[in-house]
This record gives sequence, structure tokens and C-alpha cells, in this order.
Amino acid sequence: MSESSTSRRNTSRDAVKSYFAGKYNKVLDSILEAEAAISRSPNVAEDLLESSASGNSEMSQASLAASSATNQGISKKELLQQIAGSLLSTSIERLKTTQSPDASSMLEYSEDAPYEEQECGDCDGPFKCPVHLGQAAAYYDDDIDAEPALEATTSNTERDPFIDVFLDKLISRLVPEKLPEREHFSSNATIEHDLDTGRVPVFSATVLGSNFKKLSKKMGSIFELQDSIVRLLTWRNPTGTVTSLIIFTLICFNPMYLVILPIFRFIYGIVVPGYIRRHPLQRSIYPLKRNHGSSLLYDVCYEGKNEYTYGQQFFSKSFMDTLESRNQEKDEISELDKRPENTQELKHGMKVLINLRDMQDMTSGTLHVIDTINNFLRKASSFQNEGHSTKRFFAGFLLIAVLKILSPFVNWSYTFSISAWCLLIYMHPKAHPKIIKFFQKGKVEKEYKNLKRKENQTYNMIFDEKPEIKYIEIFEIYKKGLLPNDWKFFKLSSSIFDPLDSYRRAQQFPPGVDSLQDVIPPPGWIFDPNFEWKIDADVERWVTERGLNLPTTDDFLLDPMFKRRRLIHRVIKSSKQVT
Amino acid sequence: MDTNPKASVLSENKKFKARFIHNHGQKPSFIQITPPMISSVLFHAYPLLIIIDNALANIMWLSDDKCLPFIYLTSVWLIISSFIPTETNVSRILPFSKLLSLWLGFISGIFLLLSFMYYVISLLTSLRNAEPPTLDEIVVLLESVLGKLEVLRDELNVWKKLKTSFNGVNKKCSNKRLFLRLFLVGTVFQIIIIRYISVGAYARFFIISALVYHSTSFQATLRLLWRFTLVRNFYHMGIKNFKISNWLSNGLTMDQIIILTQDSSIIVPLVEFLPLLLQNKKDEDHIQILQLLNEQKEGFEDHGLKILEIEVHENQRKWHRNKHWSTLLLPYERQNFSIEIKNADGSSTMRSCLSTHDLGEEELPNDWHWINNDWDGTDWVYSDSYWRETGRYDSLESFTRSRRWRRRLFHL
Repeated sequence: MSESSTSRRNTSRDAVKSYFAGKYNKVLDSILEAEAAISRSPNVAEDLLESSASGNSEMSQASLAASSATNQGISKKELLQQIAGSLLSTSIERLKTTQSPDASSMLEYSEDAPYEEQECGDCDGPFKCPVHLGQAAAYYDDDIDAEPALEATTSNTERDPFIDVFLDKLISRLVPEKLPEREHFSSNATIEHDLDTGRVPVFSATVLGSNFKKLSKKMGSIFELQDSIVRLLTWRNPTGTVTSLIIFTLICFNPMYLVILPIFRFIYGIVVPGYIRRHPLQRSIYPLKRNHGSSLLYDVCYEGKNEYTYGQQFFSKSFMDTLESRNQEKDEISELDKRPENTQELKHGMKVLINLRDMQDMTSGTLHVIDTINNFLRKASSFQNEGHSTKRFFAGFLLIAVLKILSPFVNWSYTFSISAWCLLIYMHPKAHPKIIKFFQKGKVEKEYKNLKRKENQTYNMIFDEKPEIKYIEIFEIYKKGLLPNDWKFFKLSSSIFDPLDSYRRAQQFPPGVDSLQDVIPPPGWIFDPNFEWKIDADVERWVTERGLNLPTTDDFLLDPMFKRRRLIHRVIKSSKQVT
Repeated sequence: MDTNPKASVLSENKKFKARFIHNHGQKPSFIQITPPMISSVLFHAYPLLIIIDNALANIMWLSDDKCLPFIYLTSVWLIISSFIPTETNVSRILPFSKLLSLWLGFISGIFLLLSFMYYVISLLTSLRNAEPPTLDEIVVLLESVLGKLEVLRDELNVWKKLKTSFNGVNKKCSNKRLFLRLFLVGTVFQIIIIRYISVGAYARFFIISALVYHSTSFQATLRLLWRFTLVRNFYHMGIKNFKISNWLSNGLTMDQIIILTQDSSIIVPLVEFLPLLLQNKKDEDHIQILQLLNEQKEGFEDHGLKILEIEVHENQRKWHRNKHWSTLLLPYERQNFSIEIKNADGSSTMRSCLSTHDLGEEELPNDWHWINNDWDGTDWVYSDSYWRETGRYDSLESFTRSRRWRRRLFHL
């Protein structure tokens, strides 16, 4: 390796290092503080879990107390966010510096980690006791100062595993040691049963990071495949598109090609080229410098701007390989190979970055697709727009019936192949606008027809299902005054407020309102306007239903301090969806 | 020649590396030496040469975009299909399918014609717009066409292929074998095939295989298949079990050898040769010979002594490049021990015989006696897979080797 390249790499690494030092400063501080808070309250970890699982931001009293004691006011959500953020940035940092800590340094550290733990047996983890906290801070200060005496490489290689181990420890303390398998979420089986078996994967940021890195290297071929499929579908490789259509047609007429073609591809795409590389066919063929003329198919597909000529098409890289003259280049190539692997490294890093970007695009694309599907399903199934959903149901039903009846009469080979050809010709960039134009000719007439049809359609369906009817109850509670027959209105409540009632025993007011105007129906229901609040005359019935052993008079249920009667109202389920 | 990569790596640091000879270097300009008439003719032929070159490139599938030749191939296939339907039972074909196939054939024909015409026209226009070609360019193009044609010729020379059966048994391809191959490729057999395969399928198969024949993949396929002994056996019709002679015996015995090679024996006067004969013998043999002579009492002075030299070839083959030599040989070629027998027409054939050890152990027929006590062997001579001699030393080229064992007999 030349000296200039080393120094260049060092400067770039310093820049990256200082950037991440600034970034990690905040993250580390907040994590350390959070760690301190956690250590003070024993059950905060469980609370964190609960809150993360339910998504509820309400704090329990215990955790409230803990956080108020620290005077930092770090909510659990914030803490989780910070941890997640630091996790992510660690992984990204490891990916960005392509020269990752080599295996030996990792090994050294993993050997150190248990040693540290042994040394500090009195505290739970390596960072809980103040000695360790100080160590950590010192560790970190070194990085921030970036002393010239300290070798950039060593600090870099040491910092990575330090943060990894730190994060791993932190997460392993926050998260229960044994995570349940995914299947347990879907089935309601008890987790504990399986947890006893012992073989449960543990969550680790290091493993996640390294896996991510490995994956991003290997995803290249998948993205290339994706890219080539897109190129085929958009006619950017016209001959390839036509060829794949022909192959698709072949498969349609004889599905055995699904097996034959991959084998064919394996033999003639991998095996035979390998053979030719090893035992070249002795064919002496001259390369030509200039080429004239072009192919019809290319020109038709490229709308005049002829990107491909025969000159480019022929005698390109792979063809040159078959030339006899390739022997003379061998010496020069072998010398090129021995150059410092600077460019290769750069290329590699670039490749990883591109793969990362594609992966990110893929994940966001996947999310978008999932969202769209979910939206569609929700709209179709929710009957928010009754007419729309009904229409969809009817269309689906009709489709099932028609398809089932038609299926024996369809020649699938012709159907699939012809539809594929039609679809791709429709997607052709040049043909697409023309086809659309052709079909849009009678648009005005069509729109008028559509309008008429829609008018008719409004009377095609009738939505006259009887709505759901239910009755709601509310108890009108009176409090005993000083005189024997002096009852004072107390509250309208849904609780009976009998002597055994939990609110009454707690000497609290029952939940309720003072006026009937304030009573509202349950969500999704509305009061029947043709019905008014009615006093339930059949007291005995609702009293016996509830198993209360108290005296009744007229409409009231009595006890020494309170009396109450039941008011009922008719409610109708509204068609509006409850959100 | 430095073919061993390991050796070159080892000596890389110390030694100087020789370079390859380049065949296609820059040639001197032709303008000075070419007559104007020829230049003019070449210039006018330039577009035609380009078209021919491109056509050859398409036939050889040299284009980097393999899809385009494939589309042309499909078009040709569709055209043939529209002419000759696949199914022999015409009544079973749906009218829709028939119409579709006709239409597709028609469209493909038009597509092929149009693309050819389009290519020619675009070529001519681009030539008109571009600066005229130099004489060197034309000559390079000419060489390119010639090179491609040469490759085609080498790959397509059926007669040569039919006759390359020099398998170490005969000096030339035997007529029997040539006839057999001609029969397989020739008409009679093909007519029988057509009776069982529909004409359409037959025509398609041959036209398509002719169109892909010159692709690198197809050539590589042929070479890879040639690696299987089964394929070679079939080609040479040398499967051992087919030969009745192989069922009868493993090889020629001494009896048969003497009968077959008797013609090449020479007769020398006994009187002159006897001292020489006795000189080499030990006491016991000495007495034995004298006894033999004594039995033939009458005038043995006039008798001639018949002397026969037997030459047994010991052959071996290397089945893998870096493995040891094996006594196992391909069934159609000369066997481990074989002897050259002259045919009536003057040609000679290698026939397998017993090993030299077994031949020496055998009881000799009447009145034949060994002159030499033992077989006299030569060094190994190495040859390639087709028994063409490569030299006296083992190299990466050599896959077979043979040496000769000589021994003489006499007959009274």
C-alpha cells in the first residue's frame, strides 16, 4: 500500500470519526442516564416492555416516581427511541467504514468482556458501578479529543466493539432474556411452556448489524435480477423482452419448460462458458473497428434515437473474450491485477452503499405496497360506503360464478400467451400512447353514457336492512335527606351504587352526570328520536337479575342511604363506522 | 513453450518472460502495392462484404445480444411450422390453431424479410454518410470473412469427420466403417426415420440444428459429449460385445499369429545361419537343435531355414491428464497387446493378441522354435489421443503410448 493512500484514508477516517464522536456523545450520555434511572427502579424494565407492547404512553406510578427522582424527565418512549437510534447508527457506522474491525480485534474484545464482568462481581453489569462508568467516560473522552498520539486505527477498532457490547448489554437488560417465538403471537398458547426448553434465540445488536452487513453484500444479485426484470418490462432491452415473451409462450404451451429452462440456463449460462474459458475453441475471428447498419427490431423499439448499433451489439466484451488476440492481453491484465487494491476497495464500498440504498428503497416500497393492500381491503370490507362495498361484493360474486362456468372452455395456453403479448405491447413506450389514443376516441360519448348508466345504477340497489336496536339503562340515584321521606337527587350513573358497590365502599362518588341531557349513547349508536327516557316499572326483574336482596317501593330500589330507579332508552346502531 | 503455470509463477521473479507471437499485427499499407483496378473492385464489394460478414456472425451467434438471433430462429421455426404442420393427423388440428400458425408464419416471414431489407438499407445509408473505407479496412474485413468461413469449414467438414476414424487400428478409415456412417447419415436410414417422425418435426429438427450448429455453445456441447466413452463407442461402432471375434477369444494366440504372419518370413540357407544360431544358445538348447537337425536326415545342406520376426505392440492410455498410465484402452482402438497384420490389399490392421508373457509361455506349433531367449523391447513412444506420435517424452499432449517387443522364430 502506498503512503499517500494511507494518509488519505486516515484523514477521511478522522473526519468520519469526529462526526460520529459528536453523534455518539449525546446518545451515550442519554443512555447512561437512562441506565442510572433504570438501576434505581427495579421494575422499570417490565414497565418499559408493557408500554412498548401496548403502545400506551401512560406511565405507571412507579416509573413516574423513578423518573421524577432523576429530575431528567426521560419518558420511556424517549428512552426507547434513543436506544433504537443508537442501535441504528451503530450499524450504519459499521457499514460505512468498509474496513470493519477484523476478526482478531473482535476476538480480543470478546475475550475481554467476560474478564471485565469477573472483575466487577459486586455490580450487575460492567457499567453499573461508578468505576466502570468512569472507565466508559474515559474511553469516550479519548475519542472526542482524538489525541495525535493515539492511532486512529486502534481507536476505531476498539470503539466499535465497545459500543456493540455496551448496546448488547443494555438491550439484554431491557428485554427479557428469553424472547418468545413468533408463532406464539398468533396462537394464544402459553409462552412459559416453550421457554423452559431453553433453545430460544436471543436478540443481539451485534449479530443484527453483522447480518445486515453480510446481507447487503449478497443482495446485489437479487437487485440485479429485479433491475433486469424492470428493464424487460419497460422495453429497454427489446430483444430480451421479445425473447422472454417467446419463452413465456413456450411455458404456456408446455409447462415442462419450467423445469427444462432453468436446467438449460444452468448448463449454457454457467457450465458451458466455464468449459470454454478452460478449453477455448480454436476459432480465429477478426474484430472489426467500424460497423454499419442497424437492426429493425432495435430501431422500432428505440424511436429513432438509435442507442444500439451493430457495432455495439457485436464485438462487445464477451465476444472479445473468444478472440484469439485475448492471449496477448493476458500479460497486461495480470500486471493490472497486481496493483494495490485501492480501486477495488472503493468499488466494493460503493457496491455496498448502492445495495444499502436499494435495500432501503425495497423496504419502503414493500411498506407502501402493504399499506395500499391494507387500505384496499379495509375499504372493501368495512361497508363504510354501502353502495361501493355492495357493488364490490356483487362483482366478485358474479366473477366467481362466471369464471367457474367458463373455466372448462378456456384454452389456457392461448389465453396466457396472448394476454402476455398484448400486455407487453401495451406497455411498450412507443405503442402505449397510441393505444390509449385509440381507445379514448369515443370518450365524450362514453362519458355521457356512463352518466346515464350511473343514474340507472342508483336505483339498482336498495339498502333497507332493519337497523340493530338495543336498550340502554341509567340509574337515577337519590340520597336520603334528614326527614324520613325527604329524598334529594344525587346522580345519574350506570352503577347501581348499592351498599356492596366498590365506589361506595371506597367512599367515592360513582361516575355519572347530573342531567339527562349529558347522557350520551354508546359509540356507534344513536338515541331513537321516537322514544323518550322511560322509567322501568318492572323493578323486581332487574333487581333479581342482579341478585340484590333489597326492598323495593314503586319504581325504586331502597337501601338505608340511597334509592335509585332505572331509566331506559331505545338506541339504534348508526351506519357510520366507529373509528 | 511455457504451458505450466506453476513453473512460471515460481520462476517469475528471476527469469524473463517471453511473449506470445501475435498473428494479427499491423500490416504495411496496401495502397502502394495494390493495383487501382483491384482497389476499385474491393471498394464496390465493401457493402456486400459487410453483409456477408454480418450474416456469418449471425450464423455463428457471435453477437453479444443472444436474444436477436434467437428471435430470428423463432421466426424461422414459425415459417417452417406454417408450411408443414407438426401433427400428422390433420383432422385433429383445430381450425383456429391452423389459422394462427399460418398467420404467425406469414408475419414471421415478413418480419425476417423486412429486417433484412431494413438492415441493408440502413447499412447503405450509413455507408453513404460515413467517410469511405480505407484499403486496410477492406482487407481486414475480407480477412474477417475468410476467418469465419474457415471456422465454418472446419466445423462443417462432414467428409473429414466421417473419415477421421483413425483409431490406431487401421491406417485409414476402413470402408466398412465409412459405409456404416454414410448409411446413418444418408438417405435410407433417414427415410426410415421419417416414417416414424413427422416430416415437420424432421425438417424443423434439422434446420434448427443447422442454425445453432455453429454457436459456441453447440460446439462446446459436442466437445463435452465427446468426453463420454459411450458416445465415442457409438460413433466408432466399437462396442466390444457387438464383435463376435471378441466373444471367442481375448486375443490372437501364437498359432494364429504364425499363420497370419507367415508371409513375411524370410528363408536363409541353413548352413550359413547355423553357426550364428548355435552361438547364442546354451548347452541344452544347443543339443536340442542338433537333435532336431539330426531328425531331418536327408540332405539338410540344401534346406533353407525359415525365420520369422514377431513384433508385438504394447499400448497404454492415460484417461485423465494428471493420472498414471492404464492398460485399459477404448474398445474400438488397439488393445493393450496387439500385432500388426497385413491385409490382402496391402493395408495393415492392428489386432489384439495375448500379452508377451503369455505368448512366451505358449507351446509353439510344429517345428517352430524361438531364436531369442526373451522379448527385446524398445522405449515408450508417446502419442496423442488418436495415436499420432508426439515424441519420446511424456507431455501434457500425450494420452497414449506404445512400445514394441520383438522376438524371432525359426522353422526347419
